Amino acid sequence: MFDPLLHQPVRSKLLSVLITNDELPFKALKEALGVTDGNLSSHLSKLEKEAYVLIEKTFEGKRPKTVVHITEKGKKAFATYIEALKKFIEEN
Amino acid sequence: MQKEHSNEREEVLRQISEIKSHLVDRETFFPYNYNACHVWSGIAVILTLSMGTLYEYSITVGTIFIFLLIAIGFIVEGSLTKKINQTYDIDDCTKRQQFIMMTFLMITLLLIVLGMALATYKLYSLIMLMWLFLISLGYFAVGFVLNIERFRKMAQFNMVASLALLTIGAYFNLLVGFESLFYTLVQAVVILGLAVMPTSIAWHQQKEENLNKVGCSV
Repeated sequence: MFDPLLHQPVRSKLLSVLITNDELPFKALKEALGVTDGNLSSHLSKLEKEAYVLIEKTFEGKRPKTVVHITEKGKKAFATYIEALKKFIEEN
Repeated sequence: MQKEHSNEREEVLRQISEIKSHLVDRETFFPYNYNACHVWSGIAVILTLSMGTLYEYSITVGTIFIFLLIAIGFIVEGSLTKKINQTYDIDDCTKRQQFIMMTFLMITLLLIVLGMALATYKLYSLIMLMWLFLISLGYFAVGFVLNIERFRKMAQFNMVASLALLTIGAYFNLLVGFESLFYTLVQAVVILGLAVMPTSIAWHQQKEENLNKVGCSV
């Protein structure tokens, strides 16, 4: 019934944050969600696999920098997920 | 079966509440260095105490002085924002930071131009009350966008106070000049509204953010 990828507290929060910001660096996302590096990486790779987010890795001088973007597919999936939550509450 | 169903409902409600807090209540990521508020408070005090005398000396000198102080404020705010953004790998600034900066930039430019025009009629109290009203309108927008109730309440208080003083000033013809008791009263209210209160709110916000950080690390 629910998108299993989004029906998880950290991932749904992650997409909510990205929806309001379009893109955010990894560090900013980590701060916004209050999770560890490893935890965030694991959730991001799951979302990236389904093309809900796009992870861009660049270098600033010698420092690596990771920026996460939400994709159109991610936005649509999130909207569908919210609709599903709404429907569930209405029916139950 | 019934219990499982009720658990699922609880889970769904929890998810909705989490999502709502980000999308509707705007509990979103907003890096901000509240020290900028202290700088603006200092600028507000200097401007409030010197504006009348400077305009009386020369409107051009007064306008240039105000413009320079405001420019210093924006440069300091910009550099503090840039510095805090760098700690999160944000190169430029977020959409919300841009919105807030542009709102205040436009308001202050409007105030400088209006102040220049009104100073020719020596309406110094009116200029000061306009600053209080419009800057507070900016604070109201910030409080609304970032969901900071303290800023919203402060802005509402300031706007009501400026309108009340404006009515009294206009009714008793007290808006001209800068040597009356009314002008001193306006100065006191402006210092309270644009320096003391923002500094106190910034201090509270900083304290809360630090507490949250300690909470997260624990």
